Amino acid sequence: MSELKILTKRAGLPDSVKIDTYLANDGYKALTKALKEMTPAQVRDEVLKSKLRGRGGAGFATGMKWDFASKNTTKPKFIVCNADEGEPGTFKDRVILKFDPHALLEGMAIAAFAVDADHGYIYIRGEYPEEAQILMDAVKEAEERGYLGKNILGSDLSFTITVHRGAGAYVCGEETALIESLEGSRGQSRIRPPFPVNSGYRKLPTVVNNVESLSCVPHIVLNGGAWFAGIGNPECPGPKLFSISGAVEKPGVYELPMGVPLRELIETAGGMKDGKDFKAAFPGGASSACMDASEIDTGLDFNSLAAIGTMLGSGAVMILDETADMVKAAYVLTRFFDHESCGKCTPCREGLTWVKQVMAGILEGKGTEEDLDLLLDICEQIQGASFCGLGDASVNCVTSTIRKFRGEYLNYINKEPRVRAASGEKS
Amino acid sequence: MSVQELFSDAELKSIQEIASRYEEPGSALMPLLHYVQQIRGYLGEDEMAFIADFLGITRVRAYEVATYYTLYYTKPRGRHTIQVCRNLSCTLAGAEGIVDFLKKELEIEVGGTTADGMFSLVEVECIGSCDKAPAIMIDGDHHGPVTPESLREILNTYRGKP
Amino acid sequence: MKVNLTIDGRQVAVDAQATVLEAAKTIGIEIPTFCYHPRLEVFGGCRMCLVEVEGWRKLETACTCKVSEGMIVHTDTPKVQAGRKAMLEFLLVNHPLDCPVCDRSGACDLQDLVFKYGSAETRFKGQKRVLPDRVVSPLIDRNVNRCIQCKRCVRACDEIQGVAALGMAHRGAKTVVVPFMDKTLDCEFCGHCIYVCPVGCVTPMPARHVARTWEMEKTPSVCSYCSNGCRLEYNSRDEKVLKVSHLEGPGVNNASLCSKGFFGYDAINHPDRITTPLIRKNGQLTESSWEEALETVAEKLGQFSGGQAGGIASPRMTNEDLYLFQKFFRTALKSNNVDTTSGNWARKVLPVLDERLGVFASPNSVGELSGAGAILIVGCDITVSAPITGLKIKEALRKGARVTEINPARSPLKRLGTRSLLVSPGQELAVVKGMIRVILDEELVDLSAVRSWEGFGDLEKTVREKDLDDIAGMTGVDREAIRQAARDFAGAPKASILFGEIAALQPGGEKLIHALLDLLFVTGKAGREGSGIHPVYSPANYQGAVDMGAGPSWLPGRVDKKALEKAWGTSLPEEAGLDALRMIQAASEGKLKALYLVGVDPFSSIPGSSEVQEALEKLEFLVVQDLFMTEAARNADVVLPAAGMAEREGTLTSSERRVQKISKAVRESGESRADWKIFTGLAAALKASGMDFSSPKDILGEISRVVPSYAGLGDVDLGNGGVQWPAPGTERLCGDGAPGGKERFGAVAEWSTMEKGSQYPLSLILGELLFHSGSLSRYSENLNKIVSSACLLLNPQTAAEFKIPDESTVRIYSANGSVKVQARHSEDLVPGVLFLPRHFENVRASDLMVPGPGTESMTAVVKVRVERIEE
Repeated sequence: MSELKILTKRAGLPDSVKIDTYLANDGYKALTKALKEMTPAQVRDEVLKSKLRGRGGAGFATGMKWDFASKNTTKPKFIVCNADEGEPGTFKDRVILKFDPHALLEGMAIAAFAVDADHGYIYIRGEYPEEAQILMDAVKEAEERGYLGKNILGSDLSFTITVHRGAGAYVCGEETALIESLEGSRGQSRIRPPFPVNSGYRKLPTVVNNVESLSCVPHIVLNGGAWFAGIGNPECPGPKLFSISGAVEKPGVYELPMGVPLRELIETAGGMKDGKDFKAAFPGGASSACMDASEIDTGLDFNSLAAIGTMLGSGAVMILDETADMVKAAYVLTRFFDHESCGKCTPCREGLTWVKQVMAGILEGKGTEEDLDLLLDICEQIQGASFCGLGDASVNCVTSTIRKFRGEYLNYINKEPRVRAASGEKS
Repeated sequence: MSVQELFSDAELKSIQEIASRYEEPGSALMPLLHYVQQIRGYLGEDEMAFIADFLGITRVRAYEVATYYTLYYTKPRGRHTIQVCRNLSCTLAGAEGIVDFLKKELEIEVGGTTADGMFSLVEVECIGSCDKAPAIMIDGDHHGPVTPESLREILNTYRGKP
Repeated sequence: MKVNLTIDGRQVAVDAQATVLEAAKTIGIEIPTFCYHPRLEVFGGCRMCLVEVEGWRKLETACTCKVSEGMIVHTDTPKVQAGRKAMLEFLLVNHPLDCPVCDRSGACDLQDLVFKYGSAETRFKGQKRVLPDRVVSPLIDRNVNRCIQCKRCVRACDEIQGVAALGMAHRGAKTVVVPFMDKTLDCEFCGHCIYVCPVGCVTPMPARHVARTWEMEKTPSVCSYCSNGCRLEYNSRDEKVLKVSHLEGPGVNNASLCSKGFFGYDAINHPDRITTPLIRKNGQLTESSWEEALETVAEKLGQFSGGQAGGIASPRMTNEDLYLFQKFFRTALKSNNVDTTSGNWARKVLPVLDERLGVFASPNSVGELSGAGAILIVGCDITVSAPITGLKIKEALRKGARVTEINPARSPLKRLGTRSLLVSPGQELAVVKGMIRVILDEELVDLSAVRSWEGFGDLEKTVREKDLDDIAGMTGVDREAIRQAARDFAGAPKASILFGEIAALQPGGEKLIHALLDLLFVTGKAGREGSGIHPVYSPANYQGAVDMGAGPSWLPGRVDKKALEKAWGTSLPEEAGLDALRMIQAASEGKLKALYLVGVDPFSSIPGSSEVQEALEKLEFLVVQDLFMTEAARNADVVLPAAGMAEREGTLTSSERRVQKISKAVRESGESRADWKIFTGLAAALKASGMDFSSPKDILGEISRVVPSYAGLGDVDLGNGGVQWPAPGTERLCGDGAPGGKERFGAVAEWSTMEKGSQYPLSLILGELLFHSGSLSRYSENLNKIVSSACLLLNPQTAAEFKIPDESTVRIYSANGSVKVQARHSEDLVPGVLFLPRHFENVRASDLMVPGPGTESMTAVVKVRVERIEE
């Protein structure tokens, strides 16, 4: 399959961030169409028809979320764009934020129209200060030209956007933790139900959508939901921005149809680096179970990956080659989750401390085979009892590598000479 | 300390402007902490107390938030903070070697600050520059892929900056 | 709407909003928890309460899971057991195995649950997190490594106390609960954090490593510090009270305490306790036996019977003590000269309530306040005067109640969003009348029921004499604020009024109370749940003192003379008795010859130090019965050591008429004796009859026969929250509207209750601190660690006017005398008003309080001037 140029159409243009460039390339046409020719219900209908599923990782049907939000008449209502993009291996939202910010703003304005929202926030991760400034400048431009603000294009919709920077906490990518953070508290998940569409920011109805999801919206409005649903895997369709990094020649963001096989994505990214053999991939970032070579033809979409026991998430594909140390990889990811655990719940907070120490012990040559059973047991209890998705997902790297690469663990345990170091050097 | 001793008129004006962006006072906490850190280098006790009182939230809440997030610093640090990503794609690309190099080059441990107060070195998790692994951030600027040679040059440009 | 579900095979029907945890509790199924607490918002973090719900893939936490129709829950399957075991194993990853050195060992939730549901071995072989030790407070110890991050302490400090002094710093396994900047804990020391901590993390520092939990004897009792009458538990070993613990159950406080109740127990352990009776021989107080002391006192007092002997008692004494005190004087000494230091207040306030409501006490209950939609607080910092009442108001605030304070200073309630109308004492009346005016003008309530009441026309007329602009000009209160306060009060279905000492003890205080009652009646808020009026006064047993007749013109139960003579089988003295101030006056005039002070230090509580000094010197005989050598005791002819709290038995009557049993936890210190026992001993020495009692229970038996509202109380259990008189327990004493025959308005004509002085232009409030009570608490080492000396507070504007920099030394002058003290600025005080706590040695309240006619009211507010002095 060849690369698509729907979401990334304008990204390569000179001065792509400027509103004039945007306007000259179909910019704000969708918003105009929605406000002048459609009703909110019709907009929501198109999004439902598109079968767009949340591109942030949770994969919840965007149209359904908007429908729930529209049913709640409490005011004010909010659109919050989750630009926290923290999953290791993901950097695809950055492309939109950095090169096509108005696409996001337009998507948010259409969302506001569709659910009758009053104000929007873009919660952008603290590690993207440059992109935050780009967004603030874009909001200003949009306000000056009347695409945001009071009575947009003469309609009843009054909506504008505040850009809000995060400060380095992966857990704030979870929508309720994000809302807590936006309210000025420690970013910890909330008890659900209630869900944000009923009780979100300031306990008011809030729609939280990912950057990429929102940037799909203008295209859906202009071309129709059915058109969108015709791209890629019909069960979970649409264009998808894949971030691919690790042992490939040209790491980067590639726009391909949902369901593109992993093998093809690798080829699009220039193939394996230095001609090395493929060993493993984490298709959905640190939170996903790893795939081995036997699974390289699996389509990259929500359903196909779920069927083989892993997940797409945000499409953060990390490729590991024959030289990679899978135990070390699992350790690095465990260390990440331990560092990012918010600390609210016992299993994630204490369990990850434990898992990290056992993994470190194995790497130091002090592990035993019983440790592998111990790890699987601990991981099962963490996954069964955590308060939020971070805990649930945190154990996949350990359990999947033990399952699929047990030999590498045994190498450490039996103190076999190291064949390959994680940095790719031969020992 | 009186507010006049803490902030200049212009700084106070910025604080008021930032706070005015939000109806919910607590929501202004994070952007105000970013602002104070930007102008002072770190988040001090008096400044945090002032921001909390100004917003009408408890002081301990400001402290909670300031210590919860990786990018807020509650202690003084070097003029430039080098943040080296240690997550998977960057580790696969040699991040550990980059950290070792910087430790030797700057003669500090991770978490430390150079004797001349110019650089602090910390390890961070994924910064979203995986396609440029191994990647680092200095003062919010992303750099990558870095090598010891390219790093020497990068550090020099920062030595010249305020 | 009820929901039906099945738990462990048993059917249960509960409210739709209930959680599985709550539903299980209703049928006696206890699911283990750490972070859940019935008084706190659900947190859901510890994951201990995992249960299995049929059809759900994963285990669910019962505390967060709302019930649904037809739900089938299992609380004890192998999967649940494995989950519980795992959560406990996880907690023991970082929790240190400190049991041998931990003060909670034997009373620890973690210990108990590990024993019940956990594994005997730990598979964790790694490094436990070790956080550096911190000392955050001299009273509250935080052993941070033992923290299991349940967040109960943080939540309790915020949600119950409203202080939010604690927070969770850092993240993940590095999370640590600390005060701001990880420095010193600056809070109200209420002890809620200690109460809710499930493990040995937060513990009371004074009891650190003193005794194991199982070594201590636990005695449920009632606090003696204030009139809230909180139930608590003394923990003692070897006849010494080592600490207090929280006691759940019926009563006013539901385990909550304040710093005094929780930490102030050690006052009785102070080394300066008087241990033996002392008799002055050759000018020196020398140790003597009880026999000799009682004989001496009896002989001396007996010489001065009739109007020549008088007694002043403390309102901290029990009902039994006070009953015998006045009976001793009236029967053995034939004198009506009996009073307590709370008498002034009672004589001023209660007759007004009686006149307008037919009640000689607070007509309402404290607990009702949490349901009020509007609360008006006048002349009172409720968080100080009655902390538990304050907690109920905080609860109401959290539920959205509109609270208005008409006070000289902003109280800590401001943190939770109250409207503060700051006025100097004396100006409250104008504001209240302004509120009534707004209510009439805007027809905020249906007045048809009260238009026909006597005095309604006068009320209308007088409130219309001034408009809001006038009142704003007079008082400095914003007219819109008065308007809003009126709307809030009138508009809430349940609205209550509280008034405190500053309101009541002004020269025209009764007028203010009448005006408040007018406000209450005109809005129809009397006598319904959540609606009513609360007089607030902190001395622990002020109500009991009134009920027991410990006042010159009131007999027990305020029965008439004939009835009492019949009950006692003796004749009573004819001559009217003197109140405390008049006794001092009579003593300095040589008319009162003998004075018996019981738990009273006149230099702390009687106005006019020079007159007090003169009085004591002129007396022919002075006997002082107390715990400590007060200044008066040093002047006494005989000193009798009295038993203190935790060393005595009897009953106390709280502000909401709750008669509760207090129990003896430890033996009397040294040779001290319970007050009642000393009185019976004196009576025996005087061969007086009717004073032969062998126990407080005995005395209560007679009280219940003599005092009508205490009828039957001798036969019921007065522990467990006691009984609100009259039995069988009455929450509210007056029904809807006004009691029959009392449908009238006070229609107070005045607009201000105090004159402005020129020589003494400032108003000084001699008040209380949250951490102290009268002069008893100054013997508590624990409470002294919080604050141990007085400091004057004044508004920066007033400070500038009189050139007083922050933290400088000043001298305060009143018409009676002067006091030197340190001064600090406070933005919370209204300009023109100063605040000085009166608990400490460095401030003798009597030096400033002005004696003489009219000032019987002014024990709370004194006119002063202030000057900076160079140090």
